Amino acid sequence: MSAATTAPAVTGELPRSARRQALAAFMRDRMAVVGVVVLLLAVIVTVLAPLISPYDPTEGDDDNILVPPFSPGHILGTDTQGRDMLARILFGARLAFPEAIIPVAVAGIIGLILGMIGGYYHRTVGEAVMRVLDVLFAIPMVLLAIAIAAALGSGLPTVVLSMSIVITPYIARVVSTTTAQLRSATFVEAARVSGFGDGRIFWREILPHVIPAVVVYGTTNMGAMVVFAAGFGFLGLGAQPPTPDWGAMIADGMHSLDSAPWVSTVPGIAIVIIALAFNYVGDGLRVALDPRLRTRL
Amino acid sequence: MLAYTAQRVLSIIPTLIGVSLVTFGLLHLVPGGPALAMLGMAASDPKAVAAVTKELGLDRSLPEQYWIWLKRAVTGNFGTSTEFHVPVTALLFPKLEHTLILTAGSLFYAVVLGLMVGITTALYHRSLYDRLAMLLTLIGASAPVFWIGLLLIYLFAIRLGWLPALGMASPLGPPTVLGVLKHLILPAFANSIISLAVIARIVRSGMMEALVQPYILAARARGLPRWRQVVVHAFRNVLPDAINITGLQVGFLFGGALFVEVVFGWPGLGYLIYSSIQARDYVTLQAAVLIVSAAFIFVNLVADLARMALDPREARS
Repeated sequence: MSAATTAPAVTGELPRSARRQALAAFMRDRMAVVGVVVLLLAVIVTVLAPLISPYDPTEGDDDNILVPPFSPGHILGTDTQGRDMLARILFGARLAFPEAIIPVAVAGIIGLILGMIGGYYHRTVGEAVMRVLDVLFAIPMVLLAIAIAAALGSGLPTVVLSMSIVITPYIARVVSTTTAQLRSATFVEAARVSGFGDGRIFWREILPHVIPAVVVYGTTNMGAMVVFAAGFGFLGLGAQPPTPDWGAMIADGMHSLDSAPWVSTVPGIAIVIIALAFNYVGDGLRVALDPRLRTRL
Repeated sequence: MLAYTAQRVLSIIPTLIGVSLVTFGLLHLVPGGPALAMLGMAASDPKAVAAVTKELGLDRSLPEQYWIWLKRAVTGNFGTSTEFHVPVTALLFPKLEHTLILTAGSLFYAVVLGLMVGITTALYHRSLYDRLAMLLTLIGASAPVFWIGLLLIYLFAIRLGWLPALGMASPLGPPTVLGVLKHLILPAFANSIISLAVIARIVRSGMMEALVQPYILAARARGLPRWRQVVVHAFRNVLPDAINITGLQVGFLFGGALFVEVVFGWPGLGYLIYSSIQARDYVTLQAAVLIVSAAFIFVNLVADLARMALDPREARS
């Protein structure tokens, strides 16, 4: 308890050197650095997809159906309609990244607000907020998201909206736990005694200490979000065909699994690489942003 | 303990009410509203729409509508499936049983393999085996479960031909216990992977911490065999954490069965949810979500109480 409340205070007093220390700690984590490099490469490739993609991702080729990987002209093979797998993977990433990042960002902001209210006014309004969020915890997360998406109808906006709804309670809980601890910290009490209003305390005293927790939580779970978003595509609730979506591509390959296993396998590998990279970066950030973990290692 | 049990049991009431509100709201999200969702194709008939509107009180206020819906739901009346044209209740309960079988199978894998991997990697920690096992559990936990399922089908059913790929029992002849168990091997394993990884990691770090404690040194000094040091002295101190994390996994295994059921054609609630999404059968979807959530709440309750009973230290705090 005392460590949890004093440690962030130290960071607050020495912002510059703390930042440098955090960066140094992050760079020492080899896998985290590899993760950052992989993600940067993936983002560059994704942005450049229309320029570097060898084929149109939606155009089939009847003469080249189910070409196996490592064939000349189709390094990752082609799918049931003769579409180039590499092109579809590249364009699929243009969906996969926003589908993972936007919900976390939206839920991050809403969760921050709800969580700070929940943790700070924990005897009054906050209690009510957290009780409502508890209900959302009681429903399996994936099931709730899928049910909302199914009711609203498929498509990218639906996926983003339903994911944002179900992640918000998790972020709010992280924030409210941290806020509740900070509430009784000496520097927050000092601010209160000095006559600062709640708004100023939230903005100047609590927010700077809560944001790292949200960033770490968001990054660590970003990998799971890529997988989560692929789940919508797999069930046919994501972007509609012929738009390339990694999850939908896996579902596509289900029916030709015996003759052409690569159609399902390749997009799965893409998902695993991106998810692993996010996991390693998240772990690295957690250690780098938490001075206690840093000294222990 | 008794006070805690009573408090914990009562705490599910507000949760259940909240869950019922959320599920009730689902039909109102459907474009066209609940009447359209309840009727499906039959909504083109204005007479049918009028009848449903009257029956469900759709022309009344939302609280009244909720009350009417809740009264029907509590008595097991979830309406008629727009896809299968039978009462939804008749569809749901056999499927619930199938999903529970899958959950139990997954739990078995998660606990047995999770403990084995966790203990052995702690004993040989930093060895090649440890690194490989940790990498594999990380990849397994980072991959989509439906993708893992397809890989398992490809390898063990299509290539090797050892195990059946789809369904819960052989289509020929009456279902047998052995047949179901054989069909359970792959889907239960696929469903268990994330929990298996979580349990393995917790047990590994707990064992590593326990194995360097003075009481292990003392046990060694007294000349106790290695297995006694490991199992009786070290593992016993990890057991509460292991039980704790396992309890949390039960609910996840139950809720996560959806994708596995779709991939393996396992005729459970997850598969029913999938087919009702495909068919836009919102009535069935709504009831299935409610049943799964209610079961999820009960499973978590039981796991929680079991944990308390097994670890008196928790009950006191």
